[in-house]
Amino acid sequence: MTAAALTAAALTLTGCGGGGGQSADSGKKVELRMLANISLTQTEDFWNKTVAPFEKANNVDVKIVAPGADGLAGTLTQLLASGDVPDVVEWLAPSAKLAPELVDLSKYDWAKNGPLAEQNKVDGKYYTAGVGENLQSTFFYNKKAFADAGITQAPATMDEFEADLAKLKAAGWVPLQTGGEWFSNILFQYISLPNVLAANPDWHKKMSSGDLTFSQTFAGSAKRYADWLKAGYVPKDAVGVKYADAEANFLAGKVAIYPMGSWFAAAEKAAPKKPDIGVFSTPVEHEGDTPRVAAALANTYLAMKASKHQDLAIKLIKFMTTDKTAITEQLSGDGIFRAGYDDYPMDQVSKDLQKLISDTPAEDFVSPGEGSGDTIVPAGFTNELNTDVQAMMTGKSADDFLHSMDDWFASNR
Amino acid sequence: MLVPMYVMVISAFKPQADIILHPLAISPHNFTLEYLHKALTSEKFNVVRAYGITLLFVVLVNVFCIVLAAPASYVIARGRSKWHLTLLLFFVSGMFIPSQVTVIPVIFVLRVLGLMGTIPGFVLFETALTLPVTIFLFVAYLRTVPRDIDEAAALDGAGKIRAFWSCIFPIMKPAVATIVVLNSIAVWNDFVNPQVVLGTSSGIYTVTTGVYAAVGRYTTDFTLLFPTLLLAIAPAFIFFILMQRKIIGGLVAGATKG
Amino acid sequence: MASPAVIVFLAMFMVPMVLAFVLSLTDWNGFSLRFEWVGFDNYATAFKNPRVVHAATFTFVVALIGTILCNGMGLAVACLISGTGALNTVARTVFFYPYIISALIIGFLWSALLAPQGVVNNILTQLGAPPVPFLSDPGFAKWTLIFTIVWSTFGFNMILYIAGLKSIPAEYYEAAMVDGATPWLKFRHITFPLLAPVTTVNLVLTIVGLLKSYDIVLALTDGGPAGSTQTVVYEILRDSFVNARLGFGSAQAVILLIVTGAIAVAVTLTRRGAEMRVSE
Repeated sequence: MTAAALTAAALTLTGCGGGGGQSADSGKKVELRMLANISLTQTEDFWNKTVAPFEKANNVDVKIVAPGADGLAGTLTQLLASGDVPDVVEWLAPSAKLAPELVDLSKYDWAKNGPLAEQNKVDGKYYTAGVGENLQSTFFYNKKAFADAGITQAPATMDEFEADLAKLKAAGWVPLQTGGEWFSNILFQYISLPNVLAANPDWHKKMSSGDLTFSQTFAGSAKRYADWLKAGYVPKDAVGVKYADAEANFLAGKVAIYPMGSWFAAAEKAAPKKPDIGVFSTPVEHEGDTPRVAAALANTYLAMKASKHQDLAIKLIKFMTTDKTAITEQLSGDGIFRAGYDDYPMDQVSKDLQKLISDTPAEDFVSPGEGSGDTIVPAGFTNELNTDVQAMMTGKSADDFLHSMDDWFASNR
Repeated sequence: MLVPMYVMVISAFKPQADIILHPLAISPHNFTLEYLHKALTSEKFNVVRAYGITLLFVVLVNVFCIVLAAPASYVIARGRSKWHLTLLLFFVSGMFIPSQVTVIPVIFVLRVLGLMGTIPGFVLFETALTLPVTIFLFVAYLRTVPRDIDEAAALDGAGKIRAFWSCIFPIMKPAVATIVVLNSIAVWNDFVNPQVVLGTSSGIYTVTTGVYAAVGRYTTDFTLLFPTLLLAIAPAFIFFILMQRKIIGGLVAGATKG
Repeated sequence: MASPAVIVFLAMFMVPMVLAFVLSLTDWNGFSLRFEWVGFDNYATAFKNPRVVHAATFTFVVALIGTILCNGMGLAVACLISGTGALNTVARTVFFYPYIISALIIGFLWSALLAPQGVVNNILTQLGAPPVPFLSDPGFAKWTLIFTIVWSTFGFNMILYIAGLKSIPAEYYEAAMVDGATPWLKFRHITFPLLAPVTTVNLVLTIVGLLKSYDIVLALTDGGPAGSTQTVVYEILRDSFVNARLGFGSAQAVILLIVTGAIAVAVTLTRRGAEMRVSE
């Protein structure tokens, strides 16, 4: 073991000599490199604009590094392995695996008191600061469709939800919009995970240890999902629908309900023509249950230990997560929300989402996907869920689905 | 065989609605250079720069590959000892090793050398990948060249290395042509190796990694997709059409000898 | 004179290969200072992991069917257009051209053509026909991938076969003509046996090439739907980088290496018989 650690150390150290090659000449401007997620709304231009005041005030040049073919997490692994480590990483939440590479931000109040800071603690330490929250249990619906089907109120329980889908179908609407690519899991996750987490508060831990299995906790949801597929609430060829098309379909008023993260609000706001849209969060399983709202810390920032300009890196993170203008730009630019920050032009959908965040008590938030901080399931869970949900969409039974997920946990625990 | 090409070319000059409604029709009234221009000036993918960089890689890899492989092949082809056979096997075994097996660990080798994420590092690795096939073909070819020539070269009194380059190498022309064709196609089209070795932080994009960055995995915007693909293919394609006799001829010549 | 080549090859090829094996015995994530030696655990996991097994099976099927189709079509087309006429030259260019285009771009191009809302399905819809789930049905997507690979690479096999055909002395055919042999008989008794060395090269190159399919998968299907078109290399890169399990990824890479080598050697050896007959 010691020998192993030494070999790794040698590899890493020797690499440091030649790798980065970004030594700070005293006369030259310092360059900070930030690996940041690039989306339709958060383009490289967007990032450059947002960091501009920071660059000016601190005489640094912030260079945005875009992720490659393996996505942001994969790109970070590549960069770490090549010794070409960026100073700041945006978008990834800290994990036990990454923690040794990160700067501990626990001594900064702005990191400790930021949104969802507690949920993202790793080993009792604060490694990240974020800008706001992404809601990930939200269902956007076409108000006209609901009116056509005689639905007067958003569903509060899953049974009501199911009844509403039948009404929508009867009224001639395509009830649900889902699709292929990376987002096939969204509909399934949004109708299941918040309620599973409500019933099993220790779900992540017990799944990781093997005390619980996927089929024990998701059997009901899987059956429900399979029934919905059978009933035609989801179009048969949905698995071929691309993300951009799914969004366009809903905005064109072709479908009744579009389950999607709150980032959809940014696209909705930018759309020139759209139907009247409402939003509700995952209905509870039984009447009287407390609803859980899934929310992930959004625009998280990590400072890398390998950075040669750690102080500046931390300063940049502080700027991105505390500067009013920087926050507002990020909130409005990407459909992120933060309680108390509503001082920018919002449309009705955004206002509804803002209200949902403000009205939900801190303890009723749960983490979507693989979890956050110390409460996580093995990495790759969402990916596998996505793949297996697609299998269900293309004809596999609910039992096969549960089996496949159980197998995955068994071999990845 | 030609339909996909045809669709790509005509679609590069049409608006989205027209591509969807009349995929096969040439529509002069809708003809526009707007999208091609947009793709050409895209901030995500500097096409002209990518051409330059990829071309540079093609040239460098070809030069290094031939400079390294030709003399080595000569030694192997002329040698009769077990040691020479071992050397041949050593190189040729590389033909069966997928480059994806080595591309991840090579990160650490390049790191130790201080070449990770740099052009020399990439060229070195890419050159190594071309050596097995090159040496295999060169050796096969050189074995068909009579030994008398060696003696004639030696008579010249020039050094061994100079004798090789001035007398033997010119005879290898057909084999060299084949290798240049194969290497050029391989390097121009490579995606995984530049993606991993050069990474995204170096800011060095080849045509393929640039297309990937510009088009991404999830695009449905045909007015972005088709013009970008057209631009990516065009230079290599035009070169191929102009040179196709020589390219195909070179492959045929190499294959029969090898 | 050989030493520079040996040094470069050692450093950039052989050392990484050995390193891949060493890494495969660890649980290293690619960057941390600590890791554990786990022996052959990664290999055991690979054989048990359903995704890895599926990817391996699928890759093998692609390589097998792809090799048969590429060579069958390559040989058939080669026989038809091996002449010297201008028409033959044009035909060769037409069949060969996809080979000079990057597999990534081929993948993007065909995905635009075959996507649910792509060119082909738009035409079908306009004609009133139901759309075909080329890329959205797991079964269909596998065949679409194989078709696309064959479409883009059989031209290369064709060129090699043409080269082989040209090296067959014309006297053989003249002799057969005297005997009044049919074209099929001529093919069976002269062409095919004499092509044996070229066929071996073709088979080995195609199968080795297809076992490492990745670029086209990434652009055409991204491994989907439902993970049905994930290949071994897709898994290796995903596990190594996205999941930061470099050790596990390396183990799969080593397995790929062994399988590829074994198949290449096996094909070469079994073909030796056919080649021997040529030299007689």
